[in-house]
Amino acid sequence: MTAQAWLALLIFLAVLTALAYPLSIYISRIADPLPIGGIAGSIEHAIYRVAGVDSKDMTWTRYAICLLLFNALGVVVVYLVQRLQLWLPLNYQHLANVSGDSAFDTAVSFVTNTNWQGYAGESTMSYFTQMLALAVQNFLSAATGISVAFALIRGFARRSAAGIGNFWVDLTRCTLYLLLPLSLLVAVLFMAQGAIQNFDDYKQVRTLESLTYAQPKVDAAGMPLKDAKGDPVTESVTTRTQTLAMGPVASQEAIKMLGTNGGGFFNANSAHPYENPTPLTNFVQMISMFLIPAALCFVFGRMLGDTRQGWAVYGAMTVIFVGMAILALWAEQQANPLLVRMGVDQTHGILQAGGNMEGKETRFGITASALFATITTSASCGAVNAMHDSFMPLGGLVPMWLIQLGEVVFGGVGSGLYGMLIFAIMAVFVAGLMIGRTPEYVGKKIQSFEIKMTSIVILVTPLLVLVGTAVAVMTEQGRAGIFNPGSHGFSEILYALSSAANNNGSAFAGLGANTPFYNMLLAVVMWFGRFAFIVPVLAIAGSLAGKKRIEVTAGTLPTHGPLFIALLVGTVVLVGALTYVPALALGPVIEHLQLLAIH
Amino acid sequence: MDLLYPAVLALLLLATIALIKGCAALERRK
Repeated sequence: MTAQAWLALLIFLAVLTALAYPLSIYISRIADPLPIGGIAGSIEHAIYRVAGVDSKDMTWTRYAICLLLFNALGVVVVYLVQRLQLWLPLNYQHLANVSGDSAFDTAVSFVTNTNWQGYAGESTMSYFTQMLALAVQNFLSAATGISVAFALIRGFARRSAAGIGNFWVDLTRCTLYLLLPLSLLVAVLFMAQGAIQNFDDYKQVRTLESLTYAQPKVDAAGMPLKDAKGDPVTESVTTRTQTLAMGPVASQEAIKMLGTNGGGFFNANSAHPYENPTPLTNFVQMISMFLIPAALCFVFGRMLGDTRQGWAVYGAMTVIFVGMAILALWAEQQANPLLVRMGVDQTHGILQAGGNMEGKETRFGITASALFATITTSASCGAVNAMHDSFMPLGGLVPMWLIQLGEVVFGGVGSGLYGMLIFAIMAVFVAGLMIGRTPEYVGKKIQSFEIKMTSIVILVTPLLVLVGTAVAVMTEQGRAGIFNPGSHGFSEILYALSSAANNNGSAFAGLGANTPFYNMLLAVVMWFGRFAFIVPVLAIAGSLAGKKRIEVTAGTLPTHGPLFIALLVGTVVLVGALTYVPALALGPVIEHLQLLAIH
Repeated sequence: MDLLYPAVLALLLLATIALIKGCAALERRK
């Protein structure tokens, strides 16, 4: 690892902590049921009046039903806007209505905060669809995640209470007081740095040189054509013109990162200069992905009245993140043995980045790409500034495994914290089994019901990933989408299912996933990865809220010190390792060994 | 407009409501 990489990692963590802690004070106030005064408070109450919202506390079942119906309505709206976009305003490129399977996949994807994109934004979605369907869901899906985190924290903090908060109040406050102002601030910064924000027609420009490139050939259904050996068939294309896509990018970019959504305005996502124009915007994008998830750790401590608990969760997340970031940064700085054999100089120096530059933006280089990849997959964001498919096998294993851990290393806004707190419950349960005591966490007894719900949460995503991958590799429609046969093709499918089930949304590319088969499979996986996870979390919140808080005694396991951090890290890593190592061995591990064999 | 995808959404919704009911039933039995 280079000195620059160490420095980047250190500065990133320092800036993140310095911003997240004060933000947590502000977010704690939003989570507090006390009314907020001033103009903002008036707007909030006007929204409740217009919507007919009763802001009383809800039981967990009522909270869950409201959340579910609201999100299902979101799927219907996003689906309809895509299907009708040709006749809706702001479609200057006359883009066709999106096909049913792709529209359904995208609707579920944006509502579940996954933002998996089987389409290319600039050639598929009108400005109206981008703004009124996709960007709106970027706000609402993020607010939904934070609301569930608030509900779970209240479950721990309240004593003998029947309710866990009000979904409509949480949703409105998160959107109005947190996501909108932060997005406005970050969007203006992005515009100042050169991110575009307009409603212009796309521009045709003549390039200085003619460009010739190899393009994979596809059949009428959009599937890759393959030769007798199973390799993709390509055709040579030469061009001297380029189409520059325009659009209201900066405003969508801000919430894309802050809400850990990750769905790019353009197909190239954050590698595109109009989405991510400078090293400063790249740094702000990385900070934005972790800002709210990191702040929510401290919110947890503040709402419990014991900030040490928040620091412990933050510490456990940081330990895993730093370990994985170091592995990714190291792996990407290594020379590719295949290129070494061809005599290519890949050493790091003043004049070249060295290491593996394939699939990376030269504007960002190895450090900013590997760090971005680690952050975007630790958080369930899924924005990319480099192509993960082109990472070295171990470099590619890092994002994939971080996703498979359940997106709990900072994770998605809200979902990262509630996912990590579920692992904390599992950790105290394991510790309780070892010492023969009834487990308790932050003053609440953990009993049979909470462990049953925890088991559902921990088992549901691996079930979706592994069964989904098995279905894809065993069926003709699943294998037909593979551009790269062999272990790398398996990695691409495993990554796609991992990304969908854990609501990340990034891709290993190289997989033709915009087909009826993958659109349906991934939509079902994304839905259950989100809501079959949230329902038991809310059930735990409701059960815990009804319990008394028990006092700390000499026999209580301290959950704020290094011992508990180590226990929590061990639980997350062991569950992740035991569940996915066999599948990873068939993909990135084999690829790595194949490269070593060549060396 | 095809009806397959709205039907799939309805099924997903019903399955998740069944999960809520199942979890609530488990809670009552505790």
